[in-house]
Amino acid sequence: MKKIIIHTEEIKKVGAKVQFQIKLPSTIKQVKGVLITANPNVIGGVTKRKEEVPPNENPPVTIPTESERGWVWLRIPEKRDVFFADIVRFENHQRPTLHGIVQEGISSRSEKWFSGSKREFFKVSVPIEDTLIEGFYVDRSKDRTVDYKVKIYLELELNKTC
Amino acid sequence: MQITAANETKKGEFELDKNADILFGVAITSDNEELLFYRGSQKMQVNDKELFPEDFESKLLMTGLCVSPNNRMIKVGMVKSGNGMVEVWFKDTNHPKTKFSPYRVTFYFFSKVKCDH
Repeated sequence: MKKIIIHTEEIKKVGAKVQFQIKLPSTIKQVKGVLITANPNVIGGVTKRKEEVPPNENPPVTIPTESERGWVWLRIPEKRDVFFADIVRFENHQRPTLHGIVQEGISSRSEKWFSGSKREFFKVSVPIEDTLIEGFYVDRSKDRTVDYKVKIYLELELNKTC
Repeated sequence: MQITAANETKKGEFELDKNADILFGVAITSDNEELLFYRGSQKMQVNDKELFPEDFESKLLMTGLCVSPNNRMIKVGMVKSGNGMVEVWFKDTNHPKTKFSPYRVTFYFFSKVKCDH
């Protein structure tokens, strides 16, 4: 049986180092996939930082949307074993690599063709004996202020319950 | 599903065809894909079985033209869905890269139909 759980961490401090735990269901068998996204927080449609810039001074600060945000590690506590590490970035819906374009062009028969792949979970196979995963996140933003949330998606395989 | 207000959560219930025996795929599109990409998230379940949990971002279920048409569906395994009901809770959330305007979200559910012969 498959289940997806989502863990969210709010990052509000430049250089923040966050340690967190993700509680897993008691019927957990293994972690099969990991996917991580980052999204800026907003208040009423504008960024918090924009409001903090006094009028008639520097132009409003805009949130960089494609830069590196931070690094994340996930590990199994009982083994102290890191099974996943990644660089977290904001995503841009126009960035072609987001959808994994390999090539695009005209075939030898003059037909338009596409080649790409879906966004999928990073496949792992991590048997879990306990019901806990430890995580560690380090903010690597180059901005003066940050306010965003990191979402960690875990695809789990569960034992069938009677 | 029509999203008419910013930060709105909307629930939709859709009855599957009575002959749709097994649900195996899901896809999402919109008439304004940029808004759906940045602002959308949803929970989905079939006959009370959760397919995607709350806050699951819509962008993870979207595909673009760059993906081959045969690969544009998210496979959800073989979920028994006979005479089933799909429930979707769609949530719109503010994002600094977009300004809200009403948009439509279309959910596609792919199923296998029972065959008597």
